[in-house]
Amino acid sequence: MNKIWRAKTAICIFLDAVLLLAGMAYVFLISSRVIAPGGFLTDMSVLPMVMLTALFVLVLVDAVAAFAVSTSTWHSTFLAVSLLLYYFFSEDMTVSLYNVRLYPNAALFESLHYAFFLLSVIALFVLWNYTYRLHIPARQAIAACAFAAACAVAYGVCVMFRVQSVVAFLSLAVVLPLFIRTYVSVCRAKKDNFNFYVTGFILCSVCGLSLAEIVCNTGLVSAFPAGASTACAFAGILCYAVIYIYFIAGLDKRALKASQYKLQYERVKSQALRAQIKPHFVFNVLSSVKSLYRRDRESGDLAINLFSRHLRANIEALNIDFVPFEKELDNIQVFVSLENLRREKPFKVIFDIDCTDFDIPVLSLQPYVENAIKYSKVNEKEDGYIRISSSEADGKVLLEISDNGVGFDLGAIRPSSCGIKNSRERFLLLIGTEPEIRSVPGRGTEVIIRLGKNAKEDFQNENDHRR
Amino acid sequence: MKMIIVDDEVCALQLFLGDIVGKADIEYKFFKDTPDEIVAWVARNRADAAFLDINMPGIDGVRLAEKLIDVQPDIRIAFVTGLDMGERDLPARVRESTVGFLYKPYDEDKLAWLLSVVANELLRMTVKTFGSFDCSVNEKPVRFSSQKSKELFALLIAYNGKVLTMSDAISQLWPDLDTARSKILYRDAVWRLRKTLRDINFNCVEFSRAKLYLNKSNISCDYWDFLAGTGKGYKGEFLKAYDWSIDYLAALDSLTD
Repeated sequence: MNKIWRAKTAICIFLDAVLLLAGMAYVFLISSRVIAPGGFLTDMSVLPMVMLTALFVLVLVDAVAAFAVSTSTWHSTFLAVSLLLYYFFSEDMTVSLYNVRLYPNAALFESLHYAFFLLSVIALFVLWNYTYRLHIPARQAIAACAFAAACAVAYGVCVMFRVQSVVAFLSLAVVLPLFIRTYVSVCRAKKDNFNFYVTGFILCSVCGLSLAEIVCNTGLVSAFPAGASTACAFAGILCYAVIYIYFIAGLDKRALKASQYKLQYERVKSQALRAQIKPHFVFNVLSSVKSLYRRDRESGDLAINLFSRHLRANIEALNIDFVPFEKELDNIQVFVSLENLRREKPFKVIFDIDCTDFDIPVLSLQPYVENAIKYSKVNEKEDGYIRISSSEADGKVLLEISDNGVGFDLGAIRPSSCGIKNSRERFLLLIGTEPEIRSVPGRGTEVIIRLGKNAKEDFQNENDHRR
Repeated sequence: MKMIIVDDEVCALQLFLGDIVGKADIEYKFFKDTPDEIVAWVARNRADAAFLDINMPGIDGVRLAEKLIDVQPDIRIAFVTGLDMGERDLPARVRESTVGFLYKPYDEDKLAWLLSVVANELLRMTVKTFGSFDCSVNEKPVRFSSQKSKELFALLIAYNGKVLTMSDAISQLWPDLDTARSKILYRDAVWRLRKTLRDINFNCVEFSRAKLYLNKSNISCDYWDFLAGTGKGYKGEFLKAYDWSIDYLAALDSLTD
């Protein structure tokens, strides 16, 4: 996982850099007339309108995707909107509007064009911060936004005096480092996230062209090339296209996996309920209780208390996935005491407990104890026992449920008790570990379960991620 | 101590009565589901504690608790319920006044414990070692879940506050077994002792890796009193069920002379 993440991030950073540099190079090359802009990019009558329509469609598609797909893409929708507005106020668009005899205020358009460029950078900075919980202080974020807004206004004023480049450089000097800082933090956040790749690609392609535009505006490089903004919007759309193809290709697989998991989870859970409360067990206990009351009141009371604790644990299990290990041990002790009520030769359980500070799937050990009670015949042996042990090594917990009973031939008989099958599935599903059963005829059976100490937290994190 | 008990079922009230009747210092009043009457009664008479059912047709026990707290802020609430509820399900105001939950059908030990908490009573353990070994907390005998865990506790008492190591305990309790097996049984006894003490809310033993330590406060023991010179009752018998107690007899005999 970590390796894949690293490779993905490295590729993304590399592509982002290439897009940034390519954008800048493109503008510089056409403005210094080293290369001629592509034919279609110089025709400023129809193309901007086409491009604008394309961007509008993109925003719609993106909004629908963000709404319908559980992996939220509000980032990219926001970015698509800024890209649309950024392009709408660009010089190419202005020229195009002139061509259809609409005469917008060029100065206003230029300052809005710049404002939306800043807005997309700042918005992304804030959104990334929020999504990845980077803990960049809110004050810094607010200050950056305020600064960017002030810059955008100042830029508008400066446009009238044709000195806008000073403000442009000044604002970039503050905003870009912030952006870079966020970018680096996201790369370090070690979260494999689709949104980051999308927004990173688009922003870098737009940034490259825009930065070059600003440099051209200073007059350092001859004239501002017509078609640069259109190229920029084009690059943005292209990035979106590539990313959507990638996303949609992966979408089916991911959705299928998630829904399969959910189905399996529900099935296993409902099976667990059926496996838990067994009618014959309930009635056996009730008749033992009845006979105990005939003997004496106190042992009847004791049995009723045990039985209600058992039922309560089972009912609680409907609503939870994990319990503290000690609670599960309590449940087992109650269960064994209930089983012993109606037996002349009681089962002896040894609690060889060395570590308790972890959680396990609720009622997941009981089926193994139940099996030992059913088949091991350890109560007929002089020193027969069922042993439950827990120990810890290297942050891993080793659970063992063993008995020194009759054992069975694993090849010949499959322990296909419903409870065991279900417990096994829950261990697999909730913790990703599989109980290992070993048995030797005549010597006993042991069940070994290995789990991480933070199995519960890991499961919850996974689940949050799935949602 | 004055307390009120509210339940909509006569059976439940009867059961409760059966458990507390004859207990010293308890004055009680039972109510069925007549919330206004209850609140009015508490406003007039004061009550130290209220034992409330939660799920009643007339009123919800938690709401009733809120009203009772309104008329008497220092009242202590205990819930007696069949529901799967805990402190986390209570509003903060009620939680502050709540001393505990009893789940129906409750166990008498739990009730006794809750009563002592309500009464602000300190839990005290009394240990008898001369003759056979007996422990009780506030007059209720402690039920150990195995013989060996009881013996382990007796050994801790005999150690008189000294640290008991695993190897010491094993050599005294399981002298004839091999190490691997005796360690397993030792851990079983430790776990059971720990659970027994936790169940009665009397956590007097510190359990750490391969070591046990008994905190002597709130425990009175005839053996300790005798060692301190204030107790009597030694008649040549000390923890007679346990083989290792022979080692203590010589010292005890020398003190009697």
